[in-house]
Order: sequence, then C-alpha cells, then structure tokens
Amino acid sequence: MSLRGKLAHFKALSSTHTSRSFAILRHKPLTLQKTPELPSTLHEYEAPEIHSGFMHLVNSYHLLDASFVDSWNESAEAPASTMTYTALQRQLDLPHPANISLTDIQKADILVTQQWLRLIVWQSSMRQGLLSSHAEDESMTFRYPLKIAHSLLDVITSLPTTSIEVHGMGIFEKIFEIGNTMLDVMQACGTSVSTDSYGVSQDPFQIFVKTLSQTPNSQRQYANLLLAKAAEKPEISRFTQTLQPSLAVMPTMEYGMDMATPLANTNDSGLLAPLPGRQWRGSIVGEIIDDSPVLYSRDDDMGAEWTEQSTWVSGSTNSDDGMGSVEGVWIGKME
Amino acid sequence: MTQLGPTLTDTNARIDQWISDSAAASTSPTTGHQRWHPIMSETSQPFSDEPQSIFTSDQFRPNSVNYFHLIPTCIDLFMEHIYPIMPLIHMPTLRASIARPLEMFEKNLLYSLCAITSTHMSGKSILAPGPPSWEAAGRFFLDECISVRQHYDFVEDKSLSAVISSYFVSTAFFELNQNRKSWYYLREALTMGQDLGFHDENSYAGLPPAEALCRRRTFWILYVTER
Repeated sequence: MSLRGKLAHFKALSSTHTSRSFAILRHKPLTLQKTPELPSTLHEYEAPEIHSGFMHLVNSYHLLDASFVDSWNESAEAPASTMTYTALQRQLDLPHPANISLTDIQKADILVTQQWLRLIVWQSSMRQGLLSSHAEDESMTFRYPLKIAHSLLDVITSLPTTSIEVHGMGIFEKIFEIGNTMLDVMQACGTSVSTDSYGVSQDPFQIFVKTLSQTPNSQRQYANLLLAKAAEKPEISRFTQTLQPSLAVMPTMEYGMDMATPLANTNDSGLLAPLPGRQWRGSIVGEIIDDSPVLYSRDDDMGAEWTEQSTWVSGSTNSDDGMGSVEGVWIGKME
Repeated sequence: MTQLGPTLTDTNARIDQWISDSAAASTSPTTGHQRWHPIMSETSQPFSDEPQSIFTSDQFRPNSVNYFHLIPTCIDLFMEHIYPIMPLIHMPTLRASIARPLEMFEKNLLYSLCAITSTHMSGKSILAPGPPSWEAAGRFFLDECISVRQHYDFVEDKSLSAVISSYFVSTAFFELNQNRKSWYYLREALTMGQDLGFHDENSYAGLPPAEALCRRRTFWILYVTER
C-alpha cells in the first residue's frame, strides 16, 4: 500500500466527527453562508476575556471558508493550489498574541483547535496529491504531522489538565486525530524524523495517551485505539522505549490490545481491562548505529508490500542528539 | 472572572419541588420495537452507542435516581467551565428564573444546560462536587429535556432558548457518542436559528442589547460548529 494509501486508510478509520466540525469530518454541506456582524460587546457581568476568547475561536475557523470546505469535500470546481495550502498553513502557524488575556479553558480550545486545523489542511493537501518528501515548504511534506504533534505536545503540557478535560470528546477527538496521524507518519517515514527534527523532551505518544485516558469515554474510544495501533507497530514501540528508558512503558502497553474485541472486555467502571496474551507483534529489526545509516527492514508480512511499492529516499545522517539516526523517507509510489 | 451569583442556599429550598415531567412517559413507546433494517447498512461504527429510542438509552428510567438537586451545582459548573467557550446565555436571567416555577420552554433550556454540563464533568482531574457518575446525571437531564419537548409545542417555540437548547442537546449527545442524534439536533438548532433570522443583520435592529449579543454569539457558535 502506498504511503498515501496508508494514510487515507487510517483517515477513513478515524473519520468520526468532532463536535465543532461536522462539515469537515462528516462531509456535510454547509447551511450557513450569509453572516451577520461579529459580536463586539460584553454583558455587564462578563470579564473581558469572554469576548476576546470567543473572537479568537471564531477567527480560527473563519480561515476555513466555503471554498476550503468544498475542496475538502471534493466538490470544488477547481482544486486548491499549493499556494492556497501554504498560505493557510502560515496563518495557522502564527502564534497567538500574548497580550490578549484568555482563560486556560479558552486557550485549550483555541490552541488545540489550531493544531487540529493544521492537520486538516495538511490532509486536504495530501488528498490533492500535493505533498512530496522534499517540498520547500515543510507543510507540504509527508512528515509535517510530526511537527504538528510536537506543537500539540507543547500546548498540552503548558495547560492544566482540567482545562482540557472540560471540553469533552470534541477536544479528545482532535488530539486523537493528531496522534493517530503521527503514528501513520512514523511508520511510513521512520521514527528518526521525529527525534531529529524537533528535539525530544517528552514522548508525544505517551502524553497523548495519558491525556486521552482522562475520561472513561475518551479512554474507551481514543486512548485504547491509539495503544492498540502502536502495539501493531514494532518501530513505534522502539521509539517509545528509546525515548523514555527510565520510565516504564505505561502498564496497559505491555499488552497488545486486540482491536476486534475491546468492547467485550469492559469492567464495572466501563474501563477496558487489559487483555492478556498478544505481546508486541514483530521484532525490532534494524539497529541505530552512530553515523552509519541503516535501513529498517520490515516484518515479512509487511515486507512484500514495501519492497514492491516503495523507494528509499536517503537523507543525511544526524547525530546531534548523541544517538545518531537515519534520516530519509520511505515513499510509496503514487498512482 | 465573573461572580457566581446566588447559589445553593437560595435555591435548595425549591429543589424538592422539582418533579419529573417524564413521569407520564414512563414507558418508552419505542422500547422493544421492531428494529428497522435499512437496505444500505450503516458503515461500520465500531463504538456507536445509538439506542433505539428517543431517549439516551433503550430503557427509559421511570424510577431511576433523581438528579434535580444538582441543578444549582450544574449552573455554577457551567459558568466556571463551559461558559468561557459557549457564552450564549444571559446568566443573571437564568439564575433569577430558577427561584420560581418555570415555564416549559425554560425547563427545556435549563435541563439542556444541566445535560451539557454533566456530560463534560467526567475528567479525572476536574474533581467537581457531584454524583458518583456525572454521565448518569447527564443522561438524566438529557432525557428530561427530550421529555419536556414532548410536553409542549416545541416546534412553535421561536425563542433563542430553543435554539440554544438544541445546540446543547446536540453537544450532550455527542459526548455520549450518539452521533446521529447529535447531528440531528445540531441541524435543528441551525434551522431554527435561520428561521429567526440570526444570519440577517436586519433582524438585530431594535432588540434589547443583551438579547442581540446572545443571538449574535449563538449564530457564530453554530457557524463554527457546522464547519
């Protein structure tokens, strides 16, 4: 399966919807086109950040106009160009002005949404076939979701957990989508890209899983899915363990979750009980050795597809982090 | 932040007077009905929790625990945690209303507010004072809200409250992973908002400023939610 095929496949798997984005994730047409003026005042009992936070949120979504939604839904007359996407990504990458005071709850909403919108725009450019491994603009490369994941990690670790939890499933779904795509890209591009490019303080995967486990519903729907997916991929288990040698891998991760049976195994609290058996599948092959590029070889069951359809694009070797690692990308052939 | 206003003590006295409007609806007409099999099967939704009932579960619960005593707590928690991202309701008006017997359209809004609040309080670190299961409370208020809507002419309720309540109901169903209902109630809110002219600048002329501000914000929240 090509890289695009893989990503599209996982996109399809995870295409539920988010409370604030029915058109985008469920491909529903828009009903509201004509708009009144934006609100410009406060109620007498409100603090100023109620208004400023509200305007921030509306403005981030406002970037995705009707023509973006059309092209996302593949109903546009003319497909959007690389220029359109890079311009959108630049706007979404702008830091929020620090002088505007927002409550943590508003920040969580705005900043997580912002990272998720970057992912949506990236996914849209991927579907248009506009990505390449050596695009000048990073947002047009296959590995861009890793950067998004690290930005999201920064957002999550900068805010109190409560301010994320109160948003409920909408915010958890956004975090899940980013984590899920991160795993796809790590598998397709190799994990080294992540460690090289963004500096590693914390493992995004662990933080995402921890955050997604904060409510029973989210744990059931998102955290366990992410864990199960990682358990399927030996490269990722390696990544997690390498990054956090001192921390034990999260208890649930010692067991491979079987995707097919998670609901059957709930206990009284509605949480999944760990499933015994099914250890990490596959072995970790391909060692990272200082200064000597080594390719990851694959499990036999995956190998056939990869050798047939993929080419290795080698890049530079980077040992800034003291580990040394291979930079380069497996690129599936595009049909 | 904003002050939380008169709370528990003012309203506790009245809580025991709350009775369920759904007592009459104690048997769900749809419980145990024949399943409808569409020709095209729903695409695999591995975690769908959709019941075969207008309520949040197949079994409507005539004798279940009553959560009306949580109403003042829910209003405070709403103000603290939800209002900053959904500042749609004029809170002084709402707070004043619960000290007296409510009209059906007011109950509709209040229960939807309690439902959305309860369904957002399940986080491990929130530590809100409340019931052992906020989700159960959320289901209770959502069922009460759906039930109230069967007891008055909701379709003719051309108020801002009706629009907001449908939005809250949509969001609460979303939290319960009932996506079909969530989508349906969002569309309901959009349609009713359009009918009231929220998209049309002219419709704001002559409204009291507080009402106009609430309507404007409601429009923009719906606009953002739909994308």
